[in-house]
Amino acid sequence: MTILLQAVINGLLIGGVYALAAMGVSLMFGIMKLINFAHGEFIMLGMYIAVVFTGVGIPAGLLGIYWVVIPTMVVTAGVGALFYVALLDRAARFGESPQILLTIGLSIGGIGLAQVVAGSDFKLPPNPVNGASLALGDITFQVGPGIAFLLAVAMAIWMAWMLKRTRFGKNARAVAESRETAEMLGVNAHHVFLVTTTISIALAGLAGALVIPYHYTYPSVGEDFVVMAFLAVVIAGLGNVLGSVLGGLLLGCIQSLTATYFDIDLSTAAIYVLFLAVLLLRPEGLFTAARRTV
Amino acid sequence: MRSCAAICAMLAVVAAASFLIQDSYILGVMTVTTFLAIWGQSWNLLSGLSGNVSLGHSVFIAMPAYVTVVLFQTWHVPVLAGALLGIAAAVALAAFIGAATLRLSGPYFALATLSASAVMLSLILHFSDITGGPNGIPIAFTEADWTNLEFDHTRSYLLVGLGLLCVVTIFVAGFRRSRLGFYVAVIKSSEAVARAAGIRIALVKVVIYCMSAALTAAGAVVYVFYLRFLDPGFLAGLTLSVEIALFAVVGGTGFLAGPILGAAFYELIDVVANARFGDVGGWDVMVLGFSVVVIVMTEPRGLCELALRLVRAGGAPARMRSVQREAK
Repeated sequence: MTILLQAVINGLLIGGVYALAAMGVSLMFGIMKLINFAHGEFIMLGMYIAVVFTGVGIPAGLLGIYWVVIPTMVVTAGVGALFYVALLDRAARFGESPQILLTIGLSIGGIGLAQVVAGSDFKLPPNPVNGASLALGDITFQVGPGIAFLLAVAMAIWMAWMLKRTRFGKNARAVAESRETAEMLGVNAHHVFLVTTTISIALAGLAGALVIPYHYTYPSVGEDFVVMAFLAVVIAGLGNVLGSVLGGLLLGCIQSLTATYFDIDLSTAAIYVLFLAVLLLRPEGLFTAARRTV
Repeated sequence: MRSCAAICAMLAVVAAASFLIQDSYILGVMTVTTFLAIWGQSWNLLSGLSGNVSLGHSVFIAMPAYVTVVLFQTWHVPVLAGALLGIAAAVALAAFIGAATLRLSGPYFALATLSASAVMLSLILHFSDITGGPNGIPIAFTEADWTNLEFDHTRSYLLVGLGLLCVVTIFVAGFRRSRLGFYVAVIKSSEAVARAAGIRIALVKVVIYCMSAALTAAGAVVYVFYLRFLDPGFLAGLTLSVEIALFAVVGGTGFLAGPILGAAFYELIDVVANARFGDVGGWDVMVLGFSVVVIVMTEPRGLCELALRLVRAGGAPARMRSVQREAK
């Protein structure tokens, strides 16, 4: 029983990062109808930026390595805004296949760029978080993934509030429902898309900054997170932002349970079977009721 | 059909020219380009013609390669028989993934194929007793024997590859003029029209996905015997999957010569980057990736269209005059 509970706890904590990544992917799809295949590379970018900031030499105080989260999010948000202005704004009218090719090209190009600029070696800044855990009775909580999990939950709550209550959230949901109608009512769709992209990429930066204490940073690291994020997003229901958070946590649990009882290498296959089953039986997703967009 | 004949003639010239080349590095580069072109052409049959972007074609490279080699080395199944089984396995896999995803509209197919290559890699790592896990499987060379796809000269692999590329190109050219090819063209331009015309959209898509998988697999089986080594990170990696899609796009998906030109372009970058920067990797994928971004943003029809435009620009004055004459 302890083993089972421990596996579930580990899974939820690992799932925090998947949830953060999935939230960004799902937000962008929900509002812009575009899958960003380069999302993993934006996480990778966040990791490298965060690693650079850890070298700046701010004394490790109460916040330890986590002070880098804020500057990393600021920089990645800027990159996200640039990404929209330079590419996505024009690509919006290209249709689905060119958009897929555009973002996947950016993804592979980004991996190459990281390899050229930073080299292929694995980086892990020295920090007290790596390997640290808190014990509560028989159950241990990994500190690094735990902090990522807590922030993922906090971001999910913020996201729910923002989409529901703020002016931007209302505009965004209107655009997601019908861009033409929303524009007729005076909503600036370009502005909504710009903010959406910025938030999505800043979330990728946040995920990146949160994993550097316990996960190696290297050029193709984005694949580790983004494949899980894509599967979580589809399993939860494409475009369902809050569902994707649950999806990320669920996949973390499946991964941890498969690793505990079978073999970690089987976890991707197990999740893929679930993914195909969802597409066959319930293509709208596990956590999406009838027809809703965001 | 004219472009198909021109391409085949060109490939025949390359095959003849290869007898003048003794340098094994250059022959190796030509061989790699040829097999990349086979995969690009097979990818184009599905993704270029139907618009369903596959980001997981490396599963149809890894699957038949492992099936053929494991059957050959463990159970001494003849290579050609094993290759047929391997190709059949790839087709079955395509039918399975296709049936689950191709009937849905939306980015499901791209997501499913992208994750499929990650799954293939993790399964190869898990069943390490059979597959050798991360260490892969070396293919022991016994004797030069064409029935086992074992040749003692790189040129033989190049010639087989060029022959296969010819076959695949003729297949794609013939396909575009076939009834199924017209169905696919209709589906690409409008699914609503296709449905109204009574075309069974999902079935057509699954069938061409299976064809594309079979052609990819045929190239893969020969290629691993050229490499003489099954490397899971290469064969089942996400990178190979995505590269195939990307260089085909750079070449131009609407052209028969597009994927071949794209493969040559990509291999050229690779060679130049290796010569210039040595083992500092990343240049090749960086240039490839950002080229695709530029192509999509500026000239979605790829290098072939650019080349055509250059030719047209050269011939434009003459045509302009004849048009002016007609106007009078």
